[in-house]
Amino acid sequence: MIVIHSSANDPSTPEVMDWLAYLKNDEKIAYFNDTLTLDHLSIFIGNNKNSKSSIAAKGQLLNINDIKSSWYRRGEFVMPVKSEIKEWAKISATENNCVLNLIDELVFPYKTSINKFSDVFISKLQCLSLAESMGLSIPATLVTTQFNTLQQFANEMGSIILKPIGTPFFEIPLNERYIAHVVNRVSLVSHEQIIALKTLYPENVVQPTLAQEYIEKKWEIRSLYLNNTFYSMAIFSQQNEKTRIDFRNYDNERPNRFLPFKLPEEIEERLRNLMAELKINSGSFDIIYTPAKEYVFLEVNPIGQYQWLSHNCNYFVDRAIADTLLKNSVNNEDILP
Amino acid sequence: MKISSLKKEVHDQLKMSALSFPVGMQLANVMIEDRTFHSSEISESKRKESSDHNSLPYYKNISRFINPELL
Repeated sequence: MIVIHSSANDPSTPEVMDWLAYLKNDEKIAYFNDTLTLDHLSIFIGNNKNSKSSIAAKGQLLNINDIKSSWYRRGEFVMPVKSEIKEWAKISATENNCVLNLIDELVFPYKTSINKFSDVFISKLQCLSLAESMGLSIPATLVTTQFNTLQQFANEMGSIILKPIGTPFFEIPLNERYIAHVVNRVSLVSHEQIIALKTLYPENVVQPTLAQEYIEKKWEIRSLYLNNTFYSMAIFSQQNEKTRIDFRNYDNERPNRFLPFKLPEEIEERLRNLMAELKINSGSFDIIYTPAKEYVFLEVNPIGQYQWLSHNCNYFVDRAIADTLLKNSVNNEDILP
Repeated sequence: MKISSLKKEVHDQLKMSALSFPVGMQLANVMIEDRTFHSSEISESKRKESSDHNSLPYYKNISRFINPELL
């Protein structure tokens, strides 16, 4: 059986399912959507040969032992906290999380699943640190709670990039009618702009702030890693002011040019090692190619949109995902390099 | 109420609460959604997004992929 956990709004999932139906239309597929509250579960750990671990949601029972291959795309399993006592509710939620972490490992095991729920929470900062230890170039990076340190960093670099550490999106309800959607975007700021903000921080204390040196780009590279293969695309974003700092500020009137690209073998090897160290088997890399012909690692997104990469470069990533799921389902081969 | 006034209100809030956010939030993008959908930047952006080549509509009926044994 193949398990897929996705979202009703995800455009990639139906494409993958179409390929699965085409390639092997008698394959059993269990499909889950968005957030699912578990009705009940029984997990056997140890040598209980006659016992079947299972979870149930929305009246459907999933025998975990029957899972050969899986794909985590979106959504999550949750367990209800049924307690009117506030203190116990917190404890109950913590215990539930321990169980859910186990279910994540069992339904989406590293060797036979494409991604898992916990991949969503990998730390950008940890990735940068590990990438450097793997021999990848990274921008000079600072995380600080001291405004003076940030100011000094900006002075040394001339211009810096301010980035969110975690999620960049949040909402502020303004009244019954209006709600503000706030995006903590990637911003290029000068030393002078940093000085201008100083009055907001009289005690020199700030919330943890991530800053990086600004790296000149010849072009940018987006590379999807799946089943030991890199699907890379060059993005020519520098001649458009709107996309120069961050190509995700899409210009729909004058879109960037995209081309298939091949990363050097040594860069691919280091990225492969990084993924092995992070224990993530699929993800999309953001990389800068500089005028000095250097490859600079920015970040890896374990679960991101890939359709634009696949369509622009004719990579047929949806089919590659379906092939990977079927391969794992047939013989439970490792999908590790 | 004008969208521009609401945006300014949000940016002012971010400044007043500067100590609660990382420094980069002072440069955040703010979009205002009108829940009644009469005038909404979010609605407009979603309309554009639906015609954007990077975003494909979800239209497939996937019920045939559910394992009948699980029904």
